[in-house]
Amino acid sequence: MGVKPWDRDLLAQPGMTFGASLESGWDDHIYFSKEASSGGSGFSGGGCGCN
Amino acid sequence: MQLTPQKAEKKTEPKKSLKIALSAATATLLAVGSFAHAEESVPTEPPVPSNDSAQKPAVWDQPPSDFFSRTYSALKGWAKFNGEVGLLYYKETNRVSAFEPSVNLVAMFDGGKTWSNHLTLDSLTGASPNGATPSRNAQTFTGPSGNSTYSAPAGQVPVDGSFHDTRIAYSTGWFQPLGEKYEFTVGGGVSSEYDYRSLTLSSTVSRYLNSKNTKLSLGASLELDVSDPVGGAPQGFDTMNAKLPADKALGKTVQDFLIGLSQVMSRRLIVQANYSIGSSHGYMTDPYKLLSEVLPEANVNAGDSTGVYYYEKRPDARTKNSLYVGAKYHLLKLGILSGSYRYFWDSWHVHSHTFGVDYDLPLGPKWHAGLDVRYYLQSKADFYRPFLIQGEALPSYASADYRLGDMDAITVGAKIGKKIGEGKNDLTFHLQYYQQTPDSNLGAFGSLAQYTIAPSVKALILKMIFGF
Repeated sequence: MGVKPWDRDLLAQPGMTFGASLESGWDDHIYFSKEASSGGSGFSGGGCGCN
Repeated sequence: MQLTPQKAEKKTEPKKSLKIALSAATATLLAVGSFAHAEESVPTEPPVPSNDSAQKPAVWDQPPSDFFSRTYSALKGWAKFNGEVGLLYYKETNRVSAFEPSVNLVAMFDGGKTWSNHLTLDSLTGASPNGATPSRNAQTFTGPSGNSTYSAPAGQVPVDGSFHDTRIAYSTGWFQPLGEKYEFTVGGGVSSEYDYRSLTLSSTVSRYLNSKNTKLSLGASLELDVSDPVGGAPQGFDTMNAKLPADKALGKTVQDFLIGLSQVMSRRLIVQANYSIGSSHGYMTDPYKLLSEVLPEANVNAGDSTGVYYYEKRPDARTKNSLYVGAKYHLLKLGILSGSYRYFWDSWHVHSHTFGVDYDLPLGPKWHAGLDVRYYLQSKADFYRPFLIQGEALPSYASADYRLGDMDAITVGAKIGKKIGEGKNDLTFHLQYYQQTPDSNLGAFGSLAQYTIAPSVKALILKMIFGF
């Protein structure tokens, strides 16, 4: 399990990283305001009065 | 329309020749221009000595292009930048629409340190269900300010059409490696809208193990919110026309903790697992949601509205938990496949399962496309009640907000993107369809049984993102 540093070419591509983006921020906001669940991939706070 | 790599290359050929022709024409014009300028600028008189201020005009005297290019050069020497700028348009059928421009800007410094900034504006308008049930008779409601009224025709779900809000939110974060094995992030954010303000502080520490193939993260976040509803904050089960305490702002605090693990499984596979727990205390009642009181089953007009509407009341404490797993698998020339699952449960007895799959496919050197599906299944909060019954004692808590009821939801989407310039920039359009289907079996009786109390919500989502 795991790879050597010189085998990280594919893992270094932007699509292979977990993390927040403009789009994930929008998705969190939409689903936070329309559903009773939130969080999971990050903190669950909403920061808005939409729900 | 999908372009094969060959077609994409063919399409760029005419552009290349056009570009060469335009470059040649531009060069010729510039050359002619410079000769003309050279002829005009032959000195006929000795140059007049000038002082420094004449040589260096003040910032406000410089052409804007000069000012921006100098600022850009100064910033470029300070850090490298990347980011995204985008626009979200969200439109529900006959209900709310939202327009949300956002920008992410990340400054990257030596040693792997980064400073991220996120700014978003959020403008919402449209009609929102007020929580009351449909009725055989037309219904009239007092607006939140207490100074206006709106009506719902017989048999229709009552919606407050005056719903509009504008929110501005800014968040920032500092990330830096601490030696070879640790990373540290600290951040904060503020959000402000007409009737709600929020302040968030957060921090995460990560530790690499196993030759950086394993990453363990611990995070904590604190959120302080203030709700200042239009017309005052109902304390729960106030009736619609009751005079509410004016200018009373109510607070809420949210503490979140997260433990996460990401693991490189192979050259092509990485997985992540998180457990998070969040505790909220304070005012969590939706100040604009109502509950209908209906006539009991024994009444000859069973199910009809009595004309009495209560403001909802939610508990002032909530503990949320979630388990999240995600995976990304590189399919080499066939793109990247991502999947995720979240199990969520809370002290209000809401349980939910969320499944997500994303597929991104490169279409030659310039274009890329993607498909995504998300499925969400939720069970209701224990105090969810679509209506109250006349003559029965009021419960401790109750809300008719369909978002706390049993429901499922599906999102399907497709996107297309193109690299621009030398491949550093990327423009993507993403179109999604979102549909929520609340449970229709809500125990309605009498005249109420003929109506859909919580109808489906259908929305189109369009996202446009420019990455730089």
